[in-house]
Amino acid sequence: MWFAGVYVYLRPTTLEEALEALYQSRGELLAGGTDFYPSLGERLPAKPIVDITRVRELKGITRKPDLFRIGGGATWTELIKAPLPRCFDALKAAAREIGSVQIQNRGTVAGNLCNASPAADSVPALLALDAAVELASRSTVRRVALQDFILGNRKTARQADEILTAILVPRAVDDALSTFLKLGARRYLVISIAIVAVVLDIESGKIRDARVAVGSCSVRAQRLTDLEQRLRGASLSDIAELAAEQHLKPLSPIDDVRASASYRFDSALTLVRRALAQCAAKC
Amino acid sequence: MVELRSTGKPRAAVRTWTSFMTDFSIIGKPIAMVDAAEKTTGAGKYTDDLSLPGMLIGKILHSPHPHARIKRIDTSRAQKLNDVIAVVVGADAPNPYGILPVGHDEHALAIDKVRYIGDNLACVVAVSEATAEAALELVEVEYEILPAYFDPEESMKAESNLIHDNKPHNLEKDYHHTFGDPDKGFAQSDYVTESRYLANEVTHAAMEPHSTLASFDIDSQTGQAGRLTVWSSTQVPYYLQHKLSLVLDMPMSQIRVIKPLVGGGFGGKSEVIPLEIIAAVAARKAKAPVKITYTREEVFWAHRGRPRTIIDLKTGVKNDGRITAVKARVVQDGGAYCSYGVVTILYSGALLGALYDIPNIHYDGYRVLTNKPACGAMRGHGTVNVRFAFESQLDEIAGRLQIDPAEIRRRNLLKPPCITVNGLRVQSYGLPECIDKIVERSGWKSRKGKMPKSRGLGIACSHYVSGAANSIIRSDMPHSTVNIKIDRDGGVVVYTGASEIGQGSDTMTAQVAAETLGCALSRIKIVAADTDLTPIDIGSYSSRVTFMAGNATMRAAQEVKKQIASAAAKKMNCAPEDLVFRDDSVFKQSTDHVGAGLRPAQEEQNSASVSGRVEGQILRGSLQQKRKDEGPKDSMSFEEAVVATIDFHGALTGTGSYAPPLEARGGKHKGGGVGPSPAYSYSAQVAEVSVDEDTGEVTVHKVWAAHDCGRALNPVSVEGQIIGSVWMGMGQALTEEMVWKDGLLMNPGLLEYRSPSSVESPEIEPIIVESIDPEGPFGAKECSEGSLAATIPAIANAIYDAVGIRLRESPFTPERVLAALRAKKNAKTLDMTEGVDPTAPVRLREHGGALWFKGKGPERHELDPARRTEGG
Repeated sequence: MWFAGVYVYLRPTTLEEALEALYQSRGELLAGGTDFYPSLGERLPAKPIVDITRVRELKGITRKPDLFRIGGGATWTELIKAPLPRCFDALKAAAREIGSVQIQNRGTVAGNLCNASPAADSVPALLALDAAVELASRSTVRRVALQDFILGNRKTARQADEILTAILVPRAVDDALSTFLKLGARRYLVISIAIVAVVLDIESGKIRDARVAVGSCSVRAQRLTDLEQRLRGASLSDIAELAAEQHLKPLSPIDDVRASASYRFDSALTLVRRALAQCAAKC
Repeated sequence: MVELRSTGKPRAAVRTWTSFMTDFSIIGKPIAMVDAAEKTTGAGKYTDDLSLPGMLIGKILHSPHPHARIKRIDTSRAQKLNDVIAVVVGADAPNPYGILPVGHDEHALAIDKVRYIGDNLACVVAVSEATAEAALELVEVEYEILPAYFDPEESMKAESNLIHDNKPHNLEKDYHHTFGDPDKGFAQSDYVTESRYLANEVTHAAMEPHSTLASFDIDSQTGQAGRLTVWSSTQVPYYLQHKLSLVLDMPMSQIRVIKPLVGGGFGGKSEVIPLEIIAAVAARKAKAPVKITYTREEVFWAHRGRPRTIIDLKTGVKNDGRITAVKARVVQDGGAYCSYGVVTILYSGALLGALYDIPNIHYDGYRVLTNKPACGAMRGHGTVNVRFAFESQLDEIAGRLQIDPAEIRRRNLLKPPCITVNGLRVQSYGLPECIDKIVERSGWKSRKGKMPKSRGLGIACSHYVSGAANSIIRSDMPHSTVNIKIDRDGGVVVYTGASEIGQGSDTMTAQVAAETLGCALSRIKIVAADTDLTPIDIGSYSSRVTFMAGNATMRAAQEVKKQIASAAAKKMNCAPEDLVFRDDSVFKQSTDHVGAGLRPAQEEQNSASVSGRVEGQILRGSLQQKRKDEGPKDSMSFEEAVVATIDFHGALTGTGSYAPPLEARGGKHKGGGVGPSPAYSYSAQVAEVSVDEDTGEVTVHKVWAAHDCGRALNPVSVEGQIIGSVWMGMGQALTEEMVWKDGLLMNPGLLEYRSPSSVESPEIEPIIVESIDPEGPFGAKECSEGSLAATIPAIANAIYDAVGIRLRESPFTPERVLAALRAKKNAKTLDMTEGVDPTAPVRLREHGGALWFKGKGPERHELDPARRTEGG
């Protein structure tokens, strides 16, 4: 319940309460707050706030027979500390690059997806893991593939009354190798110019499956499917040379305060090649 | 260069303190800052921490247009909002002001025109910040949009719609200086090279945003507003008092300015910033105390940083590397107001001299107005960008002539004491030793030219003034005056107008006073930067405090010391001249105490700390007992001597002041007042970098930085300043850049205005060189600014050494580095100016920014929330 001119702040402890509160208040979700507060600028929140940091069901990272479930409230630090198979190495590396240690302690993985920044550090790594998200509302629960969830700059498939309850990573490639590379105009506390995540599933010196995703070079991070196709069945030697400019077709970088489009394009290719070489070198 | 040896003033006379003091007990020691505990515990109060009963909050409405006439401004709706107490507009304080007497072109709030995005229009005063914010949206302003100017070369062509009506062609000021005979110098040279350099705009990014609290007393006679007290984050309380007096039409004596702790200035608080005036005007109208604290975005708009600078530099040399002539054309993109601009453009030319011996100089300097926030003074004021160009070009020449880059600098040294061709007097000159030290420490001789692939070493030098010899408000007033009062228990209070802004001003003052008086450091209390209590001092900028306020402190201490000596001498049956003050005691200089080794060091420390702790009461009792016990003696404690003096003279006070000597005040040419200083600091640096040839990323691995500071009064503080300068220089060299789009700052926050973080900070090895200046306090000179300028070219030269590209535009972002690498590969020359004859006014890319910045993106205009919310 709220009245005009009165700020409403709700802090439910169960998912059911949270979904009800969200539906009733038509408010905004607050989890880590690391994107929420900066987006207000100098202003006070205009809508009621539903703080979901205490919702039990959203906590933790759990291992299921067929998938890993990263709870909607799980922070970057929890992810970094969780015992996860090596296909998560890229995602963990991304987690360590998010903001600063303080941000990692507060910010959630789910929040990074819902914020849908083109430069979100986690998205390429999760795309390369074929992740999906679970969205719950008062009446339904649905599962959406990550590539269908993020629609554009700051646009997602989440409805106003839905909560992203979990990120689901299928356990198809637990033992695959993975690498994450980020280029920024400084080393730390920086928004990326280009981000690359690579997951390589290798069997007796040959690539069985490859996933390559690039962020910060289009309105939403993209998988380079042509390149993945080219990599399948290839041997590990000179793997970097297989990546070529034509594989970057899905990218549409822009000029902005961080870098120009052409530099982004150029450095994305460099990063893809390096990531492939580094990933293969782990074998 | 005119050598001064033959004309020789008796130099020993001014070095009296060195003749008997071969070592010191307080100075020269690594002492913690006197305000360290306050700051590290969080107990210290900055302006924004202050609050007064009934205090209101002010919020400023800023212009969304770069250049527009104000047709109508209606505050009535805002005024009607509950809890809004007053709305202030330009008409409430119409008197113009500006930091320079020649540049009174600002108003507290815009009167008829706004001149940059962020210009100040109105101020709402309310009981809460939220209310004030809300009321800002209700202020209605109707504009007539005017054509705006963003590029200085374009701006200079303007015939109409001038930014200021009295500045034709939007030219704030131009200077054309010729020293020696440059034409002849170039004719005599064996090799001449000429290039264009571009240094993009940077800002101070001090940790503390500007903040001001203003409060009027009620006059007891009239019941009207009486005296004004202002607490403000300022580097110069005196200038603020002066400008407030001007704008508010009040005598200076009715205005008290107090500087609380300041969280960094770097020049950004060295002039009067709009909020400082606005807060006072608002407090007057609201009849209540008003505090205004800038948001970070407002700090970027207030700016006053280092202007984007275009430098066309031409140098002629003989085959042996000796410079015969230098010609420089410097254009500064000064923003919408004069600020310190006239001084900046003069420094850029004047400090071509005083580092090396350049016999012939031609300088054309243009300070141009544009519709962007005003640029002002920033660490290394006026010298940094030109030094980047000069040291880069010298490196290029050395390569061309196959002379070692360190050696070519040695071949062009001055021979001090001398007067340079442009009238600068140079006495102490530690540059040769600085070069020797960094060459030795960096392993230059064995490593240069033998570095692994993509890794390189670069060298560069720089210098800076120890305060300006001529103050900006011309007068015969001393630049610093200090009062000292000593209490009966031996407590020493130093009253100084010098402003502690984090650089160690208070610590330096305490050390100089304690050393001169020979008392324990713990006796010294500093009362600083309060215009009611402290004598006029022209503040903390141009690295003047140690040299000038330090000298004034020393003189004040000498004056009280003289009084103590005469009283103590009577007690000790000797002449005052026979007394030595040291280690918290006064000694008769006898055969036992010849030289300075008065006591063993161990005992020295004990005595200082014990006496510091002794309670007044106990002490007085023991003193009286002692007096009964003993007749005339060979030594007295400092307290005893003070008691003896006060018993004899009454109150014990002294005053000292400092004005730069006439012979250091420079040449008589127009603009010759800027550049002269009583002493110059010197720096030489070697940077070791590596370059990622695929992404263009530059990593600085180590910087060796030698700095001649005359004498290090506090070595740990000097090292901190050297490291800080290198670090700040590295920011300008690699990452920091204000990016503009049609007058809108695209990165008004610390996320996208990228100062280096601790992760990028290389190992920095500071090396202190002491040249012992004949006029500095204990021989000290500046140490806070001079090292910055060498870092940028040292890194540029190291990049050249690593990968063979000559970067002429700063910062050297991955993008620019990669572009230069690609251009080199394709054997094309990288042309920053889009291929126009450099002698003709050229159209540079719009506002710096990224190399291929094509000007896309109205989607990122100021109304677009994405500009604020972009997050990783």
